[in-house]
Amino acid sequence: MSGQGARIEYVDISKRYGQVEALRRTSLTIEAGEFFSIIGPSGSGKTTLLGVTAGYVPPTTGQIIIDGRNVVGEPPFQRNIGMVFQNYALFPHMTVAQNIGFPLRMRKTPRAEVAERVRKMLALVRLEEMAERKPGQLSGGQQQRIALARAAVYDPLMLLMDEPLSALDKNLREAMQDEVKQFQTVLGSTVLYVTHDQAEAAAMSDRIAIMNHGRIVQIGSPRDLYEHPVARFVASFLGEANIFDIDKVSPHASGSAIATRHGFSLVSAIASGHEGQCICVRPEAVMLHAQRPTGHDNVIEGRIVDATYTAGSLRYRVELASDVVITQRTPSVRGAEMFAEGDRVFASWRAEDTLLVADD
Amino acid sequence: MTWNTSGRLARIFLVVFTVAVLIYLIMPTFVIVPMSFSSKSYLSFPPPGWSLQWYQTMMERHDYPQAFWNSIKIGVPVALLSTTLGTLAALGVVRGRFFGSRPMSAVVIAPLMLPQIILAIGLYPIMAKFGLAGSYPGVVIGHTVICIPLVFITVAASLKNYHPAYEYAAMTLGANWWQTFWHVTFPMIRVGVIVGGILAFTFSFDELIIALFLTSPETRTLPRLLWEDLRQYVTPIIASATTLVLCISFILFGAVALLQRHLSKATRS
Repeated sequence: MSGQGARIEYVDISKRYGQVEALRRTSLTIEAGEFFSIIGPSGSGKTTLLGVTAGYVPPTTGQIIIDGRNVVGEPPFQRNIGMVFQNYALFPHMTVAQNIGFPLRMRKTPRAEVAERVRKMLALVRLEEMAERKPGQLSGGQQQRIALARAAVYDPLMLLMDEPLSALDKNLREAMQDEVKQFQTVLGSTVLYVTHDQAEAAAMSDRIAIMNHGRIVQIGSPRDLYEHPVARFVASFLGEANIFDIDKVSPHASGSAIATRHGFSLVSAIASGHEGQCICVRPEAVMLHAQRPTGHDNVIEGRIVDATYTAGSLRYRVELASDVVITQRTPSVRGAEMFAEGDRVFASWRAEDTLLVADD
Repeated sequence: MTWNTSGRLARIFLVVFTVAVLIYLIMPTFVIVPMSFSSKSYLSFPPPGWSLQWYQTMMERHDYPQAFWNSIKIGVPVALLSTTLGTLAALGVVRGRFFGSRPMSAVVIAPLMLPQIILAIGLYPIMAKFGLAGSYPGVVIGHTVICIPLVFITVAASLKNYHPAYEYAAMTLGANWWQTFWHVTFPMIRVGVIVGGILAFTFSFDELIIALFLTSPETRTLPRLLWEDLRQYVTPIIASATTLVLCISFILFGAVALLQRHLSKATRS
């Protein structure tokens, strides 16, 4: 059952609907066995890329090379790719066992082997006792697991997943993330996972591509993208970001000195800063002090406008200037003192945490 | 208290009104039934006495059984032909995303909206030219023109009822076009297809105007024979034949109602 997933190479792939460029020329390689996610807002081209891969959307240009074979032009049923749909698309008129056996029957697999492989997949997703039920009698999470089993039972070259967890409630969604990840590890499949939920993608993926307006803006590991975003869109789409607009950049002993448009100046460790960028500071990088700290790279006085406590962490909104409110987050230690709304505070962060990104 | 009283009055009014509308809808149809059991040789309501003689007379005449079989010989191929073509048209227009699929659906439905007399007048010279006027194929083609939209409407409704992701899923799982249709699409639209087929048969079985233009004395249908008989002698035999048509229509409509209940139960589970 466990095979190695395939390596997928997209070469200059694009899709145009009339005047609309749903997907601009994109080249991308997904390694064998990789869990690769695509995130982006709706209309960013991620669903188009999925449809082009599955084969029900013909691309305008380009090639998709799966294990050395160009599959563009092949109908979906010849590609040997497994797909999990947003609402599972389990056939309502077939039992769970018939659903999982469907791809094997289409391949003229002998009856005894179909039964054996269906049994093994049901065991893998721990739903043996549901074999004779109809999908409508199963819970959302169970249907999700059956959809996974059906998409993987025939050892496909890769698994495509289109927002497979979006229909589940929050707690179940988090449990299913582990389940999907474990399923992929056991089978060793290459996974292309599409979602608009950045936290979900970060929790599961080896690498993530962020898409916007039909093109990939940045590719990297979840940590890479969070710590080194290249553009304002990436910085604010993945996690929270405090963004400052730049007025003027000049050289500085430890990198760049930046005059912001908000009336204060900041220091960044990045030496090659220039106008046309903006500054991104992550909420975790910011420290708050009651007294003006000494020896810190960036210190700005402000006022707490909102203080919230959420399961294990403190989250403050701090007004630094009349038009700038930043977010600050720290894990809460038991008994730690909290600032109150209206307190005067000093916000500080290191030059290394003053990121310069393209202002798109 | 007053609220309760006015609520009860409103409910009584609603029941009375509903019953009145139902009687208005069904009454004319049922007047014919007692007349068919009349003991006299003229049509009158209520009949002066009761007898089964007109049913016997109808069976003894050779033209009524022949017209009945003609209606079936025309209705069954009409149902099969229009079910096939109407289903294909619905699949193409609803699932295909090609330029002009919306205007095309208006064209498919048009024969149902046009006055039948216009269709009949238009069809007659064409059939005459091909030597089909008065033949079985002629009237079958004529009825199929109107029955395709009937099937199209019921099948298109079933197709719009579910997301095409089921078909995409089947194809990624390895089912080719035909297997996808047979294992996934058809089971999901089956009830719509059957209901469309029954409506098509019922329409053809009851239809008069096209039959007047396109059948001959050899191929004439039951409605045409009734029409011709009415113009010569008004005997209760007409009521007997009409009652027979009515029974068949009711059985078929009952089947449609049962199927639709089955469908809504299946989609709910």
